[in-house]
Parts: sequence; structure tokens; C-alpha cells
Amino acid sequence: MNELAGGKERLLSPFNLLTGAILLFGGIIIAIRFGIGLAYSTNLSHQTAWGLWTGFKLVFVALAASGYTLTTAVYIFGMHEYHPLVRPAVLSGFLGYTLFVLILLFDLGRPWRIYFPFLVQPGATSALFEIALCVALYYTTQFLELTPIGFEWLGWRRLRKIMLGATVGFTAFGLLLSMLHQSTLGALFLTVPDKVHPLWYSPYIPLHFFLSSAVGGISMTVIIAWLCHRIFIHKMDLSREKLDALTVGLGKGAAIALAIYFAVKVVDVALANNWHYLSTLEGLWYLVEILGFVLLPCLLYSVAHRERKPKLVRLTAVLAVLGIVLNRLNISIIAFNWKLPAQERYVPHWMEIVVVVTLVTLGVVVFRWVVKRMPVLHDHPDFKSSH
Amino acid sequence: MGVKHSSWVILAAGLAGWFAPACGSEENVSSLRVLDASVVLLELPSGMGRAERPAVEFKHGLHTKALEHLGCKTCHVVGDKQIVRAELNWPEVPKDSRDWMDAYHAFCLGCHQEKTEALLAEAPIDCGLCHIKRGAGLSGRAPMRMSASLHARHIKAEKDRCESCHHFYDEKSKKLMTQPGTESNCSHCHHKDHRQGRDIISNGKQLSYREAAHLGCVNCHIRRSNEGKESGPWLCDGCHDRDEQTKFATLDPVPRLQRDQPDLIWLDASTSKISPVPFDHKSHETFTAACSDCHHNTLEACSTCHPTRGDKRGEGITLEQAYHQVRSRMSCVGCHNEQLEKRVCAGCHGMLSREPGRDACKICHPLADDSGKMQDDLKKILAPPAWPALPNPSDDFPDKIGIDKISDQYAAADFPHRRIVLALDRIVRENKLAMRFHLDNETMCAGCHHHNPKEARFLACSACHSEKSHPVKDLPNLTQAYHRQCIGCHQRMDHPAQECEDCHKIKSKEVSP
Amino acid sequence: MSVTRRGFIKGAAVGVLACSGAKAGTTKHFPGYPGRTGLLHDTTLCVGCRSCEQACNQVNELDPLMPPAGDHTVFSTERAVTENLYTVVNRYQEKQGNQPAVFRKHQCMHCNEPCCASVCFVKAFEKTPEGPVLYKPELCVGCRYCVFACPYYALAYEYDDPLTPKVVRCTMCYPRIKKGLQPACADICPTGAILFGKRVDLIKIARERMRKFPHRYIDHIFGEHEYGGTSWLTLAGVSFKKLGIPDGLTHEPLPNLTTGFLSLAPLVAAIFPGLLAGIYAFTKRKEKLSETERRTLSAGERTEVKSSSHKHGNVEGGKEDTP
Repeated sequence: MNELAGGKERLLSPFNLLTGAILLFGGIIIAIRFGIGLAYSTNLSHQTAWGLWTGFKLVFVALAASGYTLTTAVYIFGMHEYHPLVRPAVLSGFLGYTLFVLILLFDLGRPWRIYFPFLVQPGATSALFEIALCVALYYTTQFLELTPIGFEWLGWRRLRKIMLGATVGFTAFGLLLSMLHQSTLGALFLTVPDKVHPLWYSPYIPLHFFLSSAVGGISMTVIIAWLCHRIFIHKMDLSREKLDALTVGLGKGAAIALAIYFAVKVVDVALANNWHYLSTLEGLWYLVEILGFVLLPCLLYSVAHRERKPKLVRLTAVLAVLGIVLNRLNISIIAFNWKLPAQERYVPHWMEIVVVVTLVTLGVVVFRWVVKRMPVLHDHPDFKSSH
Repeated sequence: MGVKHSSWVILAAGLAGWFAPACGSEENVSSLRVLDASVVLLELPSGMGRAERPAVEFKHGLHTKALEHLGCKTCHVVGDKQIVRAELNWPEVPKDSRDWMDAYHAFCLGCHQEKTEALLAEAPIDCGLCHIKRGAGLSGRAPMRMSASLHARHIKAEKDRCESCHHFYDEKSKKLMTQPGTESNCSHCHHKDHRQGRDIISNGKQLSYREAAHLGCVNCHIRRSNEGKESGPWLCDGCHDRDEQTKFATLDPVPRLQRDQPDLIWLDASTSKISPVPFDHKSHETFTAACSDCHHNTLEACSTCHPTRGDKRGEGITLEQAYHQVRSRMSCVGCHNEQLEKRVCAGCHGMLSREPGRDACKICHPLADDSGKMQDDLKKILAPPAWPALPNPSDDFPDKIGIDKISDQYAAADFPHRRIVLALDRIVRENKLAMRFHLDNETMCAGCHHHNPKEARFLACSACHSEKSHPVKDLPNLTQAYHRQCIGCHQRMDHPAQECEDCHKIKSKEVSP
Repeated sequence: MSVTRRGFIKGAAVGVLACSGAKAGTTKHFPGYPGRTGLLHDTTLCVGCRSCEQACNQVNELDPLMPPAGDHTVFSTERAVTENLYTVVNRYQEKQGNQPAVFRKHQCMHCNEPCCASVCFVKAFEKTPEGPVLYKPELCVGCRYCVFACPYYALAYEYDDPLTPKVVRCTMCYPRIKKGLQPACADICPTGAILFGKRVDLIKIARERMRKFPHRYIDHIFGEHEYGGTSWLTLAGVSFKKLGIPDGLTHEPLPNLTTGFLSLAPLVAAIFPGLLAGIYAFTKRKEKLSETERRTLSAGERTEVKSSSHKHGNVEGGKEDTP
């Protein structure tokens, strides 16, 4: 533990060696993707133009919802007791969006034209345009929200003060943008009613995405807080008891979000009268997702909150996050092109998987780097209780 | 460290697993099973809900063979005069679905268990060996049909005793009676209704078609066989196997069934304004496989059930519709239209519109009014039309036509014009219907020379079809017209020449289009 | 033609957000550009010679067709369009006696209201007044949302090109149409199974064929209304499902499925600042009240509390006695 969190760690620590190896190998794969083309590094086809990377774009954004959920709770709804968790939550959210942008750059055919929709020719009828716009603005907003951390680290008081003054504005703007693009990510699938399995396709899919992103955000916050506590305990202002109390509180929020999400999903099957699909193989898989990764975590969160069991909340958070990952991959890959014969279906290339693992590793490394140096988990000694 | 970062580790490990279960697609039945003709599907009678397990494909033939020495009574009720009935001889008739299941299980399994060691070494007892979920199979079973020829053979065997099979139910005496000269199809009374046909047990009032046919045919065949007389089959395959059916002996010519029917007749609806139709009843008897092809279940005249204003008995179909309904194969027009699908006709008619021409009515309604309607005229009117022989080759009737206007990538094709006309002419002359409807050779020529003005010299294809197609008029260009006409006809007549090189050689040098 | 009807909104990126959607609920209907062209593919006339594939590859300067036209072995599997094959003829039913084999040509359908155009975030697709849907590679970022969204699987992407990958597909021979020529496939088709003309004329022709030859055709023109209609129209003698075309497709143009939702975005943006300000004010007020309450409870600050409670009209707090 000391080694992981330690101040003066050795350069060749096992953590550094492992992550270094992953990043190096991933770097080579990324070089292959840019050097030779998508055909050699992915299994994308003319039938399946979006694969694992797109699936993880959805995952990263959904899990990066920790930023807007926590800031909204604290700054808009005034739940100030969660304030110590805001910075790790926003930081992990920011990193989630960073990973999103990176994997987007790998996935795009001509990533160097990424500014085209803004500066060359906007295609306003596209859901993707709305996403691009909102994510670009939100990414900037999150960056600005995080600047005080850097300013504190650098000791720039004036700038810090200015930025902190705009916190509520940033939060409101961020919530608006998040609501729009989290749901619009679901709207991407509205145009393919014939390709997505009817159990996953819904005219209300944007609502599903938004609701589940709230679940993902809260659950990620629980996990991040727990990991920080285990690894960077000496850097944390928060006591174990206080953290447990907050965790249990977050569990309650997640339980409510999951309950709404589950109800909406059930209503969705009923509205489309899709019950008969439930007895098919795809239907069983759908039930696994809905019962095992939505209803079950919802119940577990509720129990954990009532019995005040922070440990159970954390375990449930892992389950809920897996549920989000499963949901996003189901819609984008497993339930997609379900009518195509098996041999024409998409299975990710190993290089695609390596790139995803590399990016996740990168996220962990950067998070650790920032937390170790900057006042994320604790108040800066010079700025104590002056937020 | 793995523990510390377990959230990401679990996430990554989990993801690897999510891809493993590919969503299943519809079961792909690559090769169809061919079912024995004797297979009887044992399922719950209709209206009793869904069975828990798949229906049993009961191999009747196998059981008949294995239990031959024990006789039909092993399973079936055998009544007076050793008549084998369709009912199974179970203690009491099952009522609800549970009852049915128990009854079948007691019936089948009882025997299987009892006889497994002694007789039937392979008689299955486990659930899954009888209740097997299978994809659709291609059944070797075909419905048995009494053709005119087979019927004639039965008449001969029974020495003209119609009452051996035909009877009717007399409401007064509540008995089966016979009345010579009124015989009708079995299905006239014994309904073929799907649900009734499925019922194994008679409903106490009237046997279903299936029950009646099996009771009558099978028992008669068994009895005659026992008496040492010439007899028909009594095992399932004998009547129902598709291949066996083709081996039935046929009479040639089929003796005419005598029911005082006319040879030639005027079909005349008294209320109709149009002139009556001279009808060759005798010839049509040979064109059809059985009387029921036109007469449904009885041998009544069309107008009995289809009066001019329609009637309940004829499902409201009027006499005019009964004769002209295009979609029904029982109407004159429907059946005649169906003949156009035959290989020999489809070559031209597949490409021709099915809309009746301006003079079409005249072919069946030849008289201007009722005045010429004399019985003696029928023979004259219905006599086969005399066709002149085809002319010798000339400029107007070329022997061969070189098609070279469009040769580009391909060498010129030699079109054997006269040979084709001769072949088509032969086809028409061999077919009475075709002779009647084509009127003359020139009508036949219009198969290719469509839209040619009547009584004008036949025009070459290029007269209308130019180098360029005319989309607004739906007029293909010359190349397309040739290919459409030739290939289409060859396809529909199953002519071997259907590939490019069958008609024109490929030029050695490829020219880009 | 939602794309054109509603018009791609011009303007700065932020400005677009506020009016990105369409006005939902209109009584107007845009029937499409008058006189636009299309192609009628009569599958009952197609003999599977694959001349169209060959002509297409030549006109579009693709690799030579492999295996060459006339090779029937390709029909053993159903092929899809690729970056080297913009159009593809598949066999859906084998020859049975005098029932000829059934083929269907597949390619970009050039929808009346193209989904690819509506999902493109740089407007790289354009429905031309002549009928073809055009693609501008100079704008393409390579997100492949168009390939993903096409309901007909008619678009291909050059995955093996790392520098200038493009979306490729049938262009309906736009350059040839502009020159007054027919598309190459219609031009080469030896049986006239592909007919080029004005879309309205083609529909009339198709109807006339179905009327005259009811025995030859299923009574349906695929592409007349499906997903708002397509430039390519298809006639068939066997069910369209057998021809690999999903049956019972909605007549609703696919872009319409998204416009309803996207039009909410400006609405949300309009409501949100006020809504959040309201919630924020409410939260602040509650905090202030509880703060007041807390202070009331602490001893020695009676006077201050009184004035405060009076200001807020909070009488209850003022009456509390400190322990």
C-alpha cells in the first residue's frame, strides 16, 4: 500500500513496471492502427461500422457521470456533506471523458478533422453533432472546474478564487450538458430500429441512457472513494466513519436511480409488448441484464442502506458498474445486427481489446499521478476550509 | 495490487466474458427430415391447450409390423364383423388434457413396459425418446385421392355395386341407406374440417372424413384380403406414401363414369343476356383427374348451388362467378388460366398479359344471339378448328434471322425462326384447348410479335425496339427486348440454352461497354 | 426529405444547438424534388449475368470484377457491398424446373429522406434534386455513423486506408446522369431488368406491369414508401422477405425517429437555467433557515436571532428557549 501511495517511490516499482508494459504495448498497437489502418487493428466491417471502441465510448461517458451527479448534489441541492467527494468524482469524470476523446480519436477514420463539425460544416440534424458539441463544452467545463486544484498546487490564489466563484455556474451548465449528451448517446441508436434487438431498442432509449448514467456516476463515486481511501489513506481528510456514512448515503441515491431505471425498462417492454421475446435466447440474456445487473443491485443498495453496510454498498457499486458496462455493450454490440447470420456478426479484434485495456490503465495512472501531487482528496493546507 | 485495483480488474475480466455468449439466431434447418408416410402425430385434441412436451411422432407402420401376430385389437376397438375402428380400446374416453396425457401414457407405456423384454427390445420408455422436439420435416405422406382411374378400378372390382361404398344417412329411419344414381363424394357428408378431421374419436354423430375413409377403405381391404380376393393396401404406406401412389395401376383409357351426363351441352343461364356456351362435357372428363375437379362433392349441375343470384349452398358465388372467377381453379376461366402455367404454354404466356383480349368472350360464347342454339349445331361448333399447314420459308416467313445489330462484345447470333415456329405449332396442334383458344396460326405468332396490328404483316423486333429504351412507355431497347424475350421463354420452357454462349460466341477481344 | 425540408441550419456551433431540431407537428408535407430520377429493378427479369457489377466497377474505376461476370459460383453465398463492389447481385432462389432462379441487385437505395445524410455531423451527404444522394469525402471525419445507420447495409468504408479513408457506395452514376447518360448498370443490363427514368414514371410503369401481369408479380413496389421511399424501386415475383428485404417496413422516414428527440435539446436548454436557479434558491433558503434555527439554539445571541427570525417570518424559531 505504501508502495502504491508512497511519496518517494522507486521508478521500477511493480505497479510502474506493469502499467508501463501495458502502456508500451498499447502504444505499439495504437501506432499500428494509425500506421496501417483500421482494417488491421479492428474487426469492423461494412455491416458493423461501430465496434468495441464505440461500446467503450458509451461506457466511459456513462461512468464519467460521477462528475455531474456529485456536483449537482452538492452545489445545486446543497448536500454539502458530500463535498469531500466532489473533487475525486470530478477528476474521475474528467479522466473518463479524456478516455472517451482518446478512443474517439482512434476510432475516427480521419481524427485530425475532429474540428470539422464545429468550424467547417455543422450537421445539426445529427445526434452525433449534439454529442460532439455537448462533450466539447462539458469537457472544457470540467477542466475549468478542476483548475482550482492545479491553482492550489501552484499557489495561484487569485485565479483560484475567480474559478471557485463560478462553481455553481459550472455545475448548472455541466448538468445541462450532461443531461443532453448522456441521453443523446442513446439517441444514436434511434435511427437503427431494425438493427437493434427489439428488447433493447426503444423510442425512450435516451431516457434509459440518462437514468443509467446517474447510476453509473454514483456507483463510480463509491468505488473511487473506496479505492482512494484504501490506497491514499494518509492523503485523505475524510475519516473512515465519515466515508462509510457518505457511502451509505450514496447507496440510497443509487438505489432510487436504479429503481426508476428498472421501472422504466419494465414499462418499456410492456409498451412495445415485447414479452414474447423474453423466452428466446436473447430474452434470457436481457433478463440477465435487467434482473442481475439492475434489479439485484437496486435491492442490494436498498438493503445496504437500511442496514448501514458500507461494504455491501461498495460491492453493489461494482455490480452496478458492471451492469452499465454490460448494458452499453449489449446495445452497441451484442444486441446489434441481431438478425445477421452468426458468421457475419462482429467479434472484437484482440487489438481493439488491448487498446481499451491500455486506455483504462492510462486513466488509472493519470488519476494516481494527480491524486499523489495535487489536493484532490484533502484540502490544501494553505486553503483549508475556504472552499 | 490486484486487490487494490480490483474494480478495474473485475471490469476488464468481466468484459472478456460478455462477448462469449453470442446471441443465438433462429435455428437453421439445413436438411429436412423425411418422415415416414405412416407417421401419425399424437397430440392433444384441439381446444385442450398446449401440451407440456412436444407431440409424439408415432410410427404406425412400425407398430403394425411388430404387432401383426396380435392383430389390430391390441390397440384399436374391433367391432362387429371384425371391423377395426379408429377408436383406441382404452378403458374410457379421456376428457380433459390431463386425462388425455394419462390415457396415452398408460396405453403406450403399459404396453412398452410389459412387452419390452418379450417382444419389443427397443420399445422406448424414457420421456425424451418419444417426446422429441424436432424441426419441421418433409413428410413422405400425401393425402390419398380417388382418381377417376382408381374409381373405375373399384367399380370393376365391386361389379358395379356402388352401395358397397356409397350410402347416405336417412333422417327418418336413422339408418344408412343407398339410392342408386345419387352417389356423391365421401366428403359431402363426412366433413374434411381440419378440427373434426383431427379428432380420433368420432363425435357420436358423424364420422369425420378421415375416420370414415379409414373405416371404410381399410376394413374392406382387410376383409377382401382375408377372403383371398384381389385387394388394396391396408397399411399406412400403401395408400399414403408419395412414391407408392405413383405405382398405382391406371386404366387406359379410363372408362367413363355413367351418371347420365351429356356428351355435349349448351351451358345456358336463362337470365343471361349473353349467348350460351357450347360445352364438350365428355372431353373435359378426360382433361380432369376426377369429377370433383369441377363438381365439388356432388354431381349436381353448377347452377344447383350457384344460381344466377347466388345461394347459401354455393357460398353466395353467382353462376357468372362460378364460371369466370379467375382466382378459383374450379371455374372455367380459372382452370384455363392455370393451364398457362404449364411448361409448354408458359414460354409465351409468361410474358403476355393475362387480361382478356377484345375478342376473348367470343371463343366460349360464339353465337351472336340465342337463335343458333340447336343441339345439332353443337357437334359442328365444337369440332376442332382446321389449321392450315405452316407456309414455306419466304421473306415474310424467314427460316433464320441473323441478330447482329447489337453485336459488340458477342458475335452475331443465328436465330432459327422457322424451327421455333414449327416447335410451337406442334405444341398447339397437340392441345385441344390451345387449338380452340389460338384460333389460327397468327394468334400463336403474336406470342413473340406482340402488339402487332391485326391482319398486318408481322413486323421485325426492331420496328418498335430501337437502340435506346423508352422508359416512359416501358419499351425496352432492342438488346433488352431480344434477351428478355429469348431468355425468358427459354427459362419458362426449361430450354437448355440459357447462358450467353449458348446463343452467341464471345468475341476474343473484350470491348469495354 | 427532412434533411432538405427542415434545412440544415447554418450558423455558429453554439447557435445551432438552440435550433438543431425540427419543428415537430407540421401539416406540411414535402413530396420530394419534382422530376427526380430513379431506377426500377424488376427481379423477375434479372437473369443473374452480373453485367451490372462489371459495368459498375469499370465506371467507378474499381478493381476488375472478381470472379468475372458470368461466373455463377459466386451465388453460393450471399455477398454484401464492399469498397471494391458498390453493387452486388445475389441469388435468393435456385432454378427449379421451369421456375427460373431469382436474383436481386443490391446497392445504395438513394433514399428520398436519407438516413446517412441526417446522421452525418458534417453534412457530408446531400440529396440532389436529380435523385442521387452524394457524398463529399473532403468533409468526412470518418465517424461511420452513416455506415452504422443505413438500414440497407448499402455503405462500405475503406478500413484499410490509414490516411484518406472514405465511405464508398453506389453514386447512382451522378456524373453520367449530369451528362445525360443512364447509370452504367441500367445501360448495360441485357434484359432491361434495370430501368432508369423519372421516379414518378417508374412507379407508373411498375403499377402497369403489376396490373397487366398479376401472375408475375407480388403486388408491391419496394421502395415506393419504405422509410419514406427510395430512388431504387424493386418489383418481385416472390415475397420480398425471400429476397433478403425485411418486410413490413415503416413508411416513416428514419430521420424522423431522431428529430423528435433532438428538438427537445433547445427546449431543455431554455428551461434549465431558470429551473436550476429556482432549485438553487430553494436550497439556499432552506440552508439559511436551518442556519437560523441553529443560531437560535445557541445561547447569548437572542437579540440577533429575533431580528433574523423576524426578517424571515420565522416565528417558531424565535420562541425556542435555549437550554
